[in-house]
Amino acid sequence: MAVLSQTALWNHIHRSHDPLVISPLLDTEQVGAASIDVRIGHQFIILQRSVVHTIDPSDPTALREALYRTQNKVRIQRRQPFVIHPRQLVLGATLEYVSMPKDLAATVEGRSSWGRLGLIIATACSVAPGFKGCITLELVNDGEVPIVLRPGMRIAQLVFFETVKDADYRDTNNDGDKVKVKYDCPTGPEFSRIHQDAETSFWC
Amino acid sequence: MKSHQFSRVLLHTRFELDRFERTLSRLEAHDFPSDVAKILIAGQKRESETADQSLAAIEADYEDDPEGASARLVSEYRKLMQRRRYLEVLEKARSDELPWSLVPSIERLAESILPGRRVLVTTTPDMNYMVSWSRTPDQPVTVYLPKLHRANAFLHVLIGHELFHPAVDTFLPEERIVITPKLRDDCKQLLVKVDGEPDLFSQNRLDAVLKYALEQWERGLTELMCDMGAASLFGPAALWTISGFAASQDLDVPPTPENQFYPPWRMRVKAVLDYIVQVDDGENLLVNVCKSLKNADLNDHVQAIINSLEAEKGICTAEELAKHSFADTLTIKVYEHVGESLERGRDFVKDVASKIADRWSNTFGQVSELLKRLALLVPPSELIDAGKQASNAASLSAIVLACWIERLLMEQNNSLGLSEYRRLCRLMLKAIEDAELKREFADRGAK
Repeated sequence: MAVLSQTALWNHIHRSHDPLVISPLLDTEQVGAASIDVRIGHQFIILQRSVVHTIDPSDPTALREALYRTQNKVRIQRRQPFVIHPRQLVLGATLEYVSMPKDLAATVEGRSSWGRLGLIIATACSVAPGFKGCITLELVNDGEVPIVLRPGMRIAQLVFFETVKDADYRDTNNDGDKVKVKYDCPTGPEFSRIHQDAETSFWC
Repeated sequence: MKSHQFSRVLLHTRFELDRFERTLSRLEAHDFPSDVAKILIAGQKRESETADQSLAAIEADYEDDPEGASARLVSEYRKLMQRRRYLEVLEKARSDELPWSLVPSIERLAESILPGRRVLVTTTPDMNYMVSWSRTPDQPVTVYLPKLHRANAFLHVLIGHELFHPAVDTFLPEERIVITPKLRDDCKQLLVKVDGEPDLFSQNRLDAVLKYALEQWERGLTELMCDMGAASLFGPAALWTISGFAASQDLDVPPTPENQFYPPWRMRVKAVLDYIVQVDDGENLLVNVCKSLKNADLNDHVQAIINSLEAEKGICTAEELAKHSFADTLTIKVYEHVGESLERGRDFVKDVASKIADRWSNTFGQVSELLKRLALLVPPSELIDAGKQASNAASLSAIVLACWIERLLMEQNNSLGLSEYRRLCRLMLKAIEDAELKREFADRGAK
């Protein structure tokens, strides 16, 4: 499993068939030696603890209601601060919309500069081949003091790998049926859709 | 006003002014999609300070001049009530009320159409796009978007129409001078037929009929010119949007006081179609759009455009247009004058549009590349130049046109379900926002 380096990344961006798209690419210097820097977008989902007592996936209807009640989407303007307090979890999304080719997978890595302040970025950090959309980032402040984010700041990096065979997040399943994708081209952070997991009813 | 009444009104006014100021402070703490609302809030706060000082002066003057002070107090109260209405407009301009992705683009577009005017974008519970403005240039132009259509990106093309209203307003006074005597003659003839020789009663009646006719003429002319304005910005995308918006209504309702004299939709669709095809070399532009798409192997999209334009022409045939033949002679006469004014109006719209760099006739060359981005389910915000690392931001009109052409193809292929439409709207809004950001980011060095 080889990590794609800068030249390979640009080749994937510029190829005509099934290119890698990172949009908007505001600065070409975002494409680094072996990764692409991504920025934090303008929208955040804030979790409100006070409105529900638990989030339990066993009852899809109650779960959906609990998720909608606990999660509040806000939009922050450019240059405006967004403060994450210690131990707080918020969902953000990359400013960049990513279109993954079928022959690449990626991981989202926090930038060490933010990590040193205590900010943990993206716990679910793999990006599947064929995924299209802004990547939702789970942001947790694990430090002792509040951290101020501003939309547009470079917050994470994507590291790309070639897959052994082409694969597609949006493709058909083994029976040839069209799969309904859980997160269809999101352009901002998405609420959790854990209640849509097919297996939930078996386990809960 | 007696002393006790004066005290009550004064307290009441101070109470309302205090509430007004508190609401402004609350609003100031909210997020807005641009700086415009905050600037307007700051202006309102300054006005409140002035009002506060005026109330103190009025109170001090009451002893010497009770009548004068009372009159000034009532005037201050009325002014405050007028300003309170504006609070709701500001409230509905918050980021969580609006399709915020569009706001920077609307403001930039407005700079070309209404130079020097500040534009506040807000929402309304009504299902109509609206605009309000004052003839005082330092007062803001307010554009209202229907709250329910917030995410329905395709309908927002109608903002092009609204932005032309204040511009067209500057064309009307001179045109009114030309048309009024002609309309007066027509009205006179109509009344003579009914009443015989004119007397004082007939004169009053003539004035009333003329007022009615002028209102009808002004509304007809304004709406048709603003439709043309939208067409000059967005080309066929304006046609498809206006036609789509009209489709849910009766296309042939004649202009009456009940519908505020709006011209029939079918006439409006025809005016837009004619403007696109006849003005600004539109037919050639459409041919060139199709050529550039063919060169990019997007033949299905070309066919979708051709089919769609044929369909639009189909609702504007002479036979179809006859459906809204006006029954009353006055409306027929009024619309003859609307037609006459439109000859000059067309040139006016063309002149205003010529100052907008980001109009479809300048940007259609970007469409084929943007369609390729859409085929990848990527927001069509950037133009990638093969071999170059840096890319350029797509223009607003090209993004709108590309999204509409993609939509036409999906409609033609019966592949435009609800989830696909939602996705296309999302991609369009994201593209508009990203393109604007990319432009600003690229310009940051120049500023």
